[in-house]
Amino acid sequence: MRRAATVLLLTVAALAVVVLLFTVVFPRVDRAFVNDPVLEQPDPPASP
Amino acid sequence: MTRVLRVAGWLMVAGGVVIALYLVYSLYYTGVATEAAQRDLLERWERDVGGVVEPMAAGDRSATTESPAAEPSAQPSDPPSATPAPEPAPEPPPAPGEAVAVLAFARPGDDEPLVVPDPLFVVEGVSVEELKRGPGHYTGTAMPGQAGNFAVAGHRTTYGHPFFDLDELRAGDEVHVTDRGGRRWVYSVVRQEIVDPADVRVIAPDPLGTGRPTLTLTTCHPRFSAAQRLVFFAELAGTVPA
Repeated sequence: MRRAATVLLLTVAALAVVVLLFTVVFPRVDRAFVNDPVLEQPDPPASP
Repeated sequence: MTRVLRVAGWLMVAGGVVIALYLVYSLYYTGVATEAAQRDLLERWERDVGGVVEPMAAGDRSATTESPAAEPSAQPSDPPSATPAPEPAPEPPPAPGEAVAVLAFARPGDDEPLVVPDPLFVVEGVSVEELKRGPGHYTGTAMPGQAGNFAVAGHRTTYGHPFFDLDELRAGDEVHVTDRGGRRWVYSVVRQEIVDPADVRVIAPDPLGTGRPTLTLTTCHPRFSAAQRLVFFAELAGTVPA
């Protein structure tokens, strides 16, 4: 019983880590270092 | 000593798992949402505009109507016979995240797909959320066919990586832009540049200094790095009759 609870707890913890990685960590890493196609605009340019 | 090795081993395993998960995130997970968004944009476009024009076949180039629009040599004193710029009627810009135009690429004399196999829906805005749906139009820059610079940013990796192969473009290649009015504008690629991320000169109204309507495409460079931006400039070459 105790072993089953430990496995369940570890599984939940692992899933929580994966969700955290996919929703918070990876997007930030991606945007900061890997993948930003947008120019850093101080102000939006105006069309003539 | 054994304990230290065991901990180090587990840390390396954990690091490997995180790297593997990042690859799954980068190469697959982000693309799923973008594909769904592009399908959604296609449905809305078909409902509101009435279909997507496929890239023009190489043999159809003659169908293009040359645009004498904003010839650099055109002066105010030119005779009145000079054709005015092909200005579409001003329309209110769509809401952020909504489709602005459809992009397709073609190389005259070559029927092979160029850059992307299917037309790309360009959405309004270049925020993180908007670029998850597809390439984004820099808000405030010109709309397709208008005088000025129609500037578009697209991911080179992740989120469907629409501009992964943008570096395939060469001078003379065509970028076909269909606007929300169903008008189809043909831009001819002029040249590429690699610039710093803060070099907003490239999305200025007339980055080439020719006075002609311009299209600018930006993406990250090199692949899998945000250190620089790869930029392609194209000038309006004409329109394709409906």
